[in-house]
Amino acid sequence: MSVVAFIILYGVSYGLVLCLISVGLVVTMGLMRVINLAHGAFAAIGGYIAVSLAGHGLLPFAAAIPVAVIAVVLLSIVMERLLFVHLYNAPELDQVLMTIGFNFVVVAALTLFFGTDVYPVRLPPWLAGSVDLGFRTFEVYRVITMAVCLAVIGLLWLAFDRTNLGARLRAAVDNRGMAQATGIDVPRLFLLTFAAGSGLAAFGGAIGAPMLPLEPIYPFKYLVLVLVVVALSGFGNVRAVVGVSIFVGIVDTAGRFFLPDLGAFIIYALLIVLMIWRRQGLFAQRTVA
Amino acid sequence: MTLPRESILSRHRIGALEPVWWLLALLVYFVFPKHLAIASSVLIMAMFALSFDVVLGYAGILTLGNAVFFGVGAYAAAWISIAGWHEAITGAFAAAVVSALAAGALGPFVLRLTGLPLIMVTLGIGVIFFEAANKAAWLTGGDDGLSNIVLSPLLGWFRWSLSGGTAYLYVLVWLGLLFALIRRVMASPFGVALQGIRENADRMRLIGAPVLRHLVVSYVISAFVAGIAGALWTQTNAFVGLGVFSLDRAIDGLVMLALGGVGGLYGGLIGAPVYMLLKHFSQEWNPHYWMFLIGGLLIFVVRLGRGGILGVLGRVLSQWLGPRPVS
Amino acid sequence: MKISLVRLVAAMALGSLTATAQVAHAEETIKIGIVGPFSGPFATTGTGFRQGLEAYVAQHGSEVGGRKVQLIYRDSETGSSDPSVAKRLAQELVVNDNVALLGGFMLTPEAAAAAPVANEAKTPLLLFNAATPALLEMSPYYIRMGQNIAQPAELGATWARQLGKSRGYSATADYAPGHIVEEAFAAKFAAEGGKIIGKDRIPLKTVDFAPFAERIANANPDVLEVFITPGAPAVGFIKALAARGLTKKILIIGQGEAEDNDLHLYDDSVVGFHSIIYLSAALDNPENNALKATLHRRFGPGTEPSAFTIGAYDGLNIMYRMIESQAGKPFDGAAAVKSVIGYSWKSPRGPVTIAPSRELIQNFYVREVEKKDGKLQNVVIKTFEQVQPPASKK
Repeated sequence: MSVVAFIILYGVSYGLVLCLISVGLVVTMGLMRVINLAHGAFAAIGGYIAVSLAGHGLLPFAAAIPVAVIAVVLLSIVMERLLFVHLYNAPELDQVLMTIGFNFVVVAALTLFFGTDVYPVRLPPWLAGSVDLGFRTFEVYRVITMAVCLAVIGLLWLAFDRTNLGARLRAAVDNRGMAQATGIDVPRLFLLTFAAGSGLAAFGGAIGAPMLPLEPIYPFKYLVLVLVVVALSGFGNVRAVVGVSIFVGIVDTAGRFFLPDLGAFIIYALLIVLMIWRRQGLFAQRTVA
Repeated sequence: MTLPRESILSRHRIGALEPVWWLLALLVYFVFPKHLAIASSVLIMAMFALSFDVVLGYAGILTLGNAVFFGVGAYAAAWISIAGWHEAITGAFAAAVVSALAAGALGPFVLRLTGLPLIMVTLGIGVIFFEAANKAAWLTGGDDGLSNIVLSPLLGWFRWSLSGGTAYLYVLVWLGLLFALIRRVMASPFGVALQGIRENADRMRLIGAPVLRHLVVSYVISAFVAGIAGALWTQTNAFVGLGVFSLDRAIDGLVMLALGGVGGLYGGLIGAPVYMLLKHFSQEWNPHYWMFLIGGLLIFVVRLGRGGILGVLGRVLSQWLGPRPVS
Repeated sequence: MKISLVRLVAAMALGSLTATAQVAHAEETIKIGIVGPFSGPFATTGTGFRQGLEAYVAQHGSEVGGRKVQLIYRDSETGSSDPSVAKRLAQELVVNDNVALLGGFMLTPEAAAAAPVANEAKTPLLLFNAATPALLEMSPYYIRMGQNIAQPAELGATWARQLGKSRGYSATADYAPGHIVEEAFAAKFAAEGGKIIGKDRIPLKTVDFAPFAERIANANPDVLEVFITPGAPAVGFIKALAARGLTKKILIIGQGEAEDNDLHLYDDSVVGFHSIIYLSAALDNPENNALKATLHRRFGPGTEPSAFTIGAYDGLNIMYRMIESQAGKPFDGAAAVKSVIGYSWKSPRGPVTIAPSRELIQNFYVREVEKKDGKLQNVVIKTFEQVQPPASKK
């Protein structure tokens, strides 16, 4: 019983952070058809900014996170105009190479500013410690993180499903040509989506820093995990991302709990099998034009 | 996948200047006798990049997993030697065959995919091989690697000197042979078909070309070359460790090829020395700037879209020498 | 592409002659090649090497046995998972620079890769810190300055039993050194009457240690032997243990996870962590104090000796003895190695002797992390004197 509770609690909290980081990539890949291997870089930058602001006492952790997100959003707008806009019609190889190159530059910059060691995260007292849930203890930090992630994802869902912008986005993902023909300003939509996706990633990186430690190779380290979520969700399938992320979080946690030696294998083996079997993703229903 | 003119895959021909590269490579043996160890590793990386070119430049298969075949070749060569077969040339050949067989087994499944799923799967396979090699320490020596690798003198005559002279020429000859072989294959109808598949696989299917089979064959050829590179790595170092399976190595190969120019066969041969030299010098300058440099260079090369260094050279030459007759 | 066969043969012959000839042909200067990570993620190790070597030279001069000693440094770029770089550097040092001695080689694969070079060139190679038992069997020219990784594991078991712990659990990183620690701890703990209730191997790339902390908590041991790579993994693991309440409940024994120069990466959850290792910066003996004084003078007041500093420092001491033993004659690697077997001296880490197996008989210290004056530090709470290296089982 307590094992199941552990796996669910930890797997879900891990998965939700992964969801925040990945959802931006799901949308940008669905919308812009760009293989953006550099998405993790924005998560890393967001994390580093938030943690260093809090660590140096300039801002409390809770305030540092929004500041980091805004900074990354601005940065991503600049980067989109400078670099990523050229990738929209480029062949996949070009996309892979340029985004890898971008990753290298970010890793080098992070090493330069923050050093090669893992960057220590000091949680403020109200986030540290554990809460007694009756059947077991659980870290306060993880409880709060889950709540915040769910709130953000909820807002995202609303925006995606209920707003005009969301409708336009869904239209452009489904059929870009048609959307443009009906007057939707697709390039501007790209920019907005890219910025929003990067901002979300930064948020995930910042709030997830105690769980996914910050080090300069962060963009490469979590790349595969994020890509797993994206690939399994199917491009542009925002609704699926939450389910898939939680699935990945639980499988990963359970795998490492029951078979600690093979923990690394399980998620990759699963990925390969699923990719070959259902390459459109676990929940894909829509066709893309 | 259509190729706009600005793509890094744009073609280029050098032709008459080819012997220059080989002459330079030979000259290195005489001019830099003290640096032959690193020169050998540059040649081996060039060979690895060449294996990427076969599968990426010609067939258009975007894979991050060629390190798997490099690693399989490397370990196979080690076991062959440890098992008692000390002849180097046949040992390397046999090791590469093992790699090719692995590709033949994986290919039919993996090559049905394209785009991101393909990248993911090849990445996943690479990671699994790395972890498996780590776990199977009884087979691979695990973290310590395999080191009691002894080779009998080459052709019964040339001892493997500590200075690395024999090793360098050995690798160079292999590289030359493989290069000539690949050249021949890519100029054949099969090679042209591959390029057709790269440009538009559906159209190729419509005219009846056996697309998957062609892709698998190119994958196997690429794995063979990567396997030779891995085997030579083990033989010239008398050591093999888990690093042969690392993702870093796969990315290195890809970057080298991209720098040099994809699809011209010489891309890897030019990209490898450039990359290694840059790495060496920028690390002396400041170890962290190396990543800045490579990242920036990659972005620059892609933005330029002129097909890497080879592409730039090709354009410069065609401006000097005027338009070239179609051969 | 034609090369005359004669030319080729001549080049080969020349190459092999150079390799087999004794390397130090200069009577006046003797060269020592140091291969270490002076850049990249393990740069602090390289810094430690260099500081130890320069401190020794500052104290003892650069002449011994009628010869001048010259140190040549080469960067092995450790961390790019390519141990062949270290091998190539060793090769170049021997062939191009004619070094008589080699030192450094931080990681086991690097040392393993360099063994053929040392064997062919008959060059003594001092491993400043590498701890895998099998290394010494790869070359008769290897001498180990660090520890045999099984030793602290066995001592941990002994000490835990001394404290009455009977339910043992081990959590080790999933690579060769971790496996050795796991086996050594289990064997000794059981041999002394304890019961091993679990052994976990933690994959090297793990970031989230919560599942492992959970497994350990569920098994409910009273002592946990830990071996995790220092840095991000160690910090993450101990944090996970603390979050699960384990740091307060069970005795946790590690090795190098919470060294003094890493403690700033932790928060207070690491207080109470025990480690067993062969040195301690806080030791109060004349040699250690002199070393610290030299380090402070040359490199700044905050410089503390690490395992790498002391490995290099002691390593150079051995090399000086070797050179002295060969004073007035061409340097013979094999004889040099033989001459230092049984050599005893007082190192900053305490009294040390070189055993016939070419590793050290030395003290081991049990330390505990305490918070003193708002600062985390390791405090020695027990000393195991003059521990013999384990009998080799491989």
